[in-house]
Amino acid sequence: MLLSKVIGRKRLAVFSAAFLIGLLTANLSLVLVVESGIGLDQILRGGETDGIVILDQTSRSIYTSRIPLSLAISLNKLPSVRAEALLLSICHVQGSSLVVRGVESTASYLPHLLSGSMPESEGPWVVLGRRAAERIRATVGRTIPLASSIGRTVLLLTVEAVCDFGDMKDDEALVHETIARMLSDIPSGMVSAAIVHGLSREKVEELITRNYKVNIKCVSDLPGNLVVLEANGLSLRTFRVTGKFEESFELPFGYYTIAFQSRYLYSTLDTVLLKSDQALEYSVKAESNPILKVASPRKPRLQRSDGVEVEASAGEGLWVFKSTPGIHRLELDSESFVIPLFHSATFDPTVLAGKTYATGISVSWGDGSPVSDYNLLVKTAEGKVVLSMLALGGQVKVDLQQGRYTIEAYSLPYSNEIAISVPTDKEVKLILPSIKSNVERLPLRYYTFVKAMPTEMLPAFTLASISGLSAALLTGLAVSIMFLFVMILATVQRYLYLSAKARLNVLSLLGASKIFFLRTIELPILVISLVLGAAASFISLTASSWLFPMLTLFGHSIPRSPALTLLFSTTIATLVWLWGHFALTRTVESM
Amino acid sequence: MSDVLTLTNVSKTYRNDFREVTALNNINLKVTEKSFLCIAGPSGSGKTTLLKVSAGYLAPDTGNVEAFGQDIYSLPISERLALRNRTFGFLFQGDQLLEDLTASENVELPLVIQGIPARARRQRVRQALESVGILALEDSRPNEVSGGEKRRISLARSLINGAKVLFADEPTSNLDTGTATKILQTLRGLNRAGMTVVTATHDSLVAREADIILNMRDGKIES
Repeated sequence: MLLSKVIGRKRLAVFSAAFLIGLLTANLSLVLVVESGIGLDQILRGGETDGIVILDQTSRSIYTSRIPLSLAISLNKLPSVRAEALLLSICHVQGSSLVVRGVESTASYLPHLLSGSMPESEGPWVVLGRRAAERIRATVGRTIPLASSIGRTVLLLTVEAVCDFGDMKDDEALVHETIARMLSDIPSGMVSAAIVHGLSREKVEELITRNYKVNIKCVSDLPGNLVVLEANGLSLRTFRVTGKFEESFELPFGYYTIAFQSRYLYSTLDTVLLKSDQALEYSVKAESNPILKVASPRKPRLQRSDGVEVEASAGEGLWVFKSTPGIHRLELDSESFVIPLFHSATFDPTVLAGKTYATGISVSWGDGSPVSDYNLLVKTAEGKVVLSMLALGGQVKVDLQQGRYTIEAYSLPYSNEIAISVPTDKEVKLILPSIKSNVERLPLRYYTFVKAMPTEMLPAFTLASISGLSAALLTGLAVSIMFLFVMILATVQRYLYLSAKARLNVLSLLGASKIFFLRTIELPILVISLVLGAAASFISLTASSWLFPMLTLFGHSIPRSPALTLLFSTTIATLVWLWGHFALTRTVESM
Repeated sequence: MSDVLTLTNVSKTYRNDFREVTALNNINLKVTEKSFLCIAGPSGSGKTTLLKVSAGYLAPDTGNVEAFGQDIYSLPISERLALRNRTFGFLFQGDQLLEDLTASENVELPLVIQGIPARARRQRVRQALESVGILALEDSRPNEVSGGEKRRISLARSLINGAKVLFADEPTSNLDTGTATKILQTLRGLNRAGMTVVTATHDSLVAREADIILNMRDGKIES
């Protein structure tokens, strides 16, 4: 090969070694900077690739942000809008950081299962992403100590499954949201951020950064309070209502419940998705002297909750009681019934004689917690009360004949009702809407610094706040490193040509053309450079497979891209060769 | 006999930031076919420049250089390179041999540049080495032979392409008298065989062998 004779074997060997080392260092540096940049970008997006993210702008990062869950709930009520609450935090497993994502259910991740089985209920389980499992060397069945990076919480969680999600979640740990809240110290009613699909950033900002005028008119037969509740059930405004009432006030965007509350009555009047100025009108009708009719041959006794006995009169084969609204105690045939009486009703327990079917009923509060004691009233389709009982515990079973019934549950001042058909094999579920007093459920109106931005802006926003760095600076750094190494490698190649200049000069004197130099010297050098580039990529990939898992950014490992590594090496090798080609051409022309 | 080389009003000045040196000053020269021309003169008189300008290595500032009736500096670079490679032979001052190559590999370089296949090259290399009497050294490297033998290898290389004109720049420099004489005898033999020889030298031995002697001083031909 003329190349080795003209350039010299020793020179070629030194060149190859220097070129390989240079390319390898360039490759590792560039891959580290570029992949870290790409990784950081993905990580600071919280793994979200599109949509509008809402976070607390003073927190500056999706992992430290806290916003009210009600904001996500309210946005989800908008037509064609999907708003998802994110619950993210960075934890530690025996010195290795790990992003923990709280999920309500793992069912949607089943297609990604690699090993183990997906947990179906709340518990001390953890589902690991493939890379996270490799990094912390955890397998299915192993119990790992997961430590909060904010508080002092350390939880022992069992690895139930390992999944290949194919995205950022491969570096994460999925836990039930209650566990995530414990680890991240995020109270119920709060989440890290919300991701919104189906709305532009401008529309989201317009919705969440201004207040809307609300005008409420109400006419009520009963004295009571008009209550405005936020999406999380927290009381926002309370107005005293007697007769006619009108009030104007301003509220931020949200999903609100308007309810009427009196001593013995709580009634949801309306739910409003407030996204523009609104005028609302309500009328509350209630009986001031409801009548209870009891079907019984013997005279029953009815007592109000204050102990006063109500007088009975006989008529139409029934005993008639005229009372005031409230809970009453009815004594009939040595049995005692609790009767919530707000509207006129007939009590006829004889309807239940004959074949009956056991019907399960569960009563819970709006947040899912069971109601511990309440009154249950069962009415026929004709409005006859056939059963009244005081229930202790969230679930009861009642025996009912075949037919249609209305079940009413009372835990004053809250009540609700549901129509059912008996027999039914499903449990009847009743939810009592309630005013919450949970101080952790901070309302949206206290979050005046929420900010909406596209996910691609989030990394620059976070970087700029934590270190003054920006994605542009990182790109600049990567380009600078690339340029530096191109210079170094070009110098190596230039040395090769310079050191052989006298020999090349001889060929030129003998009439060698540029084509001859290209064919016999430069193309073999290009081939060597490309082979060295491929070798550098291979070594770099091997080295990075060992090095990168040890480096984590915000609990994520740095991604590795063989294609990118090879592209870097071959691009640099070709650029350097081109540079050398022009240098050699100039040298030959000057000979 | 026809002119193989004609230089008309040829001038060449070397310039740098500090000074100008006129190497050739309005040179007019004709070299006829099969002649043995010797350009003599002291160092710095412009002999080597005249040789390089004549052989197509160095373009003059003014004037024309014609070889076989063609202005060689108006030719495309590829044709000028071909002329240097195939029509002219050049015996360089300092031999210009590649140290890593054997004598035969050095000699065959002009053929490699021409793209002649290896098998055809081998025969011609042997002939060239034999013509200068160093066939026995075909596998020796330049650092393994004497100065005179190096000069012969260089001479064989300048002959391998079947050149019609041989330019020899100081062919006897750094050689003892005996070796120098042998080199000159070889050149004379080539000339007798029909080759035009143009040498530049300040060695009187060379001048004695030439048909025509031109003396140069300060870039001008004196006689």
